[in-house]
Amino acid sequence: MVSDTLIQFDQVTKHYGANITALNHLSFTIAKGELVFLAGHSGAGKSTILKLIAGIEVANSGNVVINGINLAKISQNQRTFIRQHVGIVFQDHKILYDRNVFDNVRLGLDITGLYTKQEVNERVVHALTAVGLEHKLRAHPEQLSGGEQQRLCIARAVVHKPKILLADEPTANLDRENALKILELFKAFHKAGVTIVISAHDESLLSDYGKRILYLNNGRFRG
Amino acid sequence: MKLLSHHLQSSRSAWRSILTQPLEHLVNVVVLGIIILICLVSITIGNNLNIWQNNNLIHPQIIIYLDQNSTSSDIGKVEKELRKLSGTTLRTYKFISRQQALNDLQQDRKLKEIASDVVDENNNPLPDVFIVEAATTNPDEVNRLNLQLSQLPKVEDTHLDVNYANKIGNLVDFSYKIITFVQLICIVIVALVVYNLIRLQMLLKVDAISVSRLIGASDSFIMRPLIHYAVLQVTVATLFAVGGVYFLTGRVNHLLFNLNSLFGKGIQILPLSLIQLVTMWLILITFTIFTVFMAVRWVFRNTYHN
Repeated sequence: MVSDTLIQFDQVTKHYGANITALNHLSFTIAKGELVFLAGHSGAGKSTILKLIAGIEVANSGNVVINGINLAKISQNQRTFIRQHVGIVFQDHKILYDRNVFDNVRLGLDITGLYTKQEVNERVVHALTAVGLEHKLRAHPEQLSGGEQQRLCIARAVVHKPKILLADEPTANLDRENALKILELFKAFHKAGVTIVISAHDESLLSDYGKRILYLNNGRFRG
Repeated sequence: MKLLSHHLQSSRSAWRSILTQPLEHLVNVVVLGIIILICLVSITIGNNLNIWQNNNLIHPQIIIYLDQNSTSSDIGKVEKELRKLSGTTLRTYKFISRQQALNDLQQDRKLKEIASDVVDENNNPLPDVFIVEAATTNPDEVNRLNLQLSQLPKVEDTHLDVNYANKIGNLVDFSYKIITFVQLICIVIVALVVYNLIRLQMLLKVDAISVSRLIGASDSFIMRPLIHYAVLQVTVATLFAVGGVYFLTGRVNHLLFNLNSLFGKGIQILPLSLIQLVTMWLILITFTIFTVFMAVRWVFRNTYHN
């Protein structure tokens, strides 16, 4: 039977230290091409879910299965390799200030090492055009506004055309207008067939999109 | 092809890093260069010690005094025995006849005055002599050779300066030990400097490395530019050291040239061969790559956790 499930959490528990339980026996699935929002207050476990999907963290118990691969049963190097096929938008952008916009975006392609110089140029320009930063190719990150920096981070996440796009609070530091623009961008990528998981604590932004929202509270689903 | 492309990119990145901050990297190159220079100087000394040893500059001598009554037939027999030993325990030998010794004595103004009363053409007390050079500096072997030579027919006596032979042997052994020790120390210091260099580079680029790892960079992706960076620095430092050792060799040879006229021997320091230099460079590069690997592992274990 061919499954449409791309991401599967099965009774996943994640602790940080002895006292903090970020996720508590959490189970859910996300289908290929789905756009899912993770909602909940700070510390609810949203970022932990994204880190587990990306293989940045490993669950203490339970199974995290991505495209049929159980992340607990593969090595650190293999999890790193899987990350090359996942786009990640970080809450704190994680932009590199020692290089310009173009070089920040190309990093995602350099890591895979699959592309020629011409392909790299084309893909970077295409990604920056998709997020509306094509006119800031040679600008340095400190010359960008908060919204532009977030879009730069998105461009880096999508430049290698990942199957899964993870965004951790992409609208957290933006005003409503910019936040909506960013969500529209994700909507456009979703239409292109990318499976997207977005965490956000501002639930009012999410309700208009008519997509599945997983509400989290202290490491469990709410209600 | 993909790997080659990665290496080319890493090499470009290493060159860019060095060329954009040449002064900062010059200090590293000079430090590495001085250490490698010391190493190359020690190898040069070791080589030349070996050459001098082989060229009889520091080989012990045994003097064989033949019986006063020995005839040319007896001398021929001894020479035949010496010829048999040539190339094994005995390196070279030279015969000085009693007549030749007398002539030499008479030509030496000071000795002539001293010996004029007892030595003349009709009363030559000097013996026929073989001067033998041992093939080894090992005191035990030299003593064995001395005993063997003293037992040859018509040999009145042999003379070996045992202390001299022992001292030479010990000095040569000690020199080799010192040279080996210096070489090992230099390689260890080069490794430590490279280790620290890479550790600092990684800490300077902590953001780039951290982000790269978060978005899927493998260990080899992180390590590759650092290897190129370290190899480039060690290579430049080696070139600097090679230049230095050739310059020093030239200066020392210039000084020795003046001494040669006094001693009448063509003593000179031979520079390292291309093969030796390439071998040395390859050893350093091997250690460098291993050191980068260790440094990256150390930083990953202590700094990054994903």
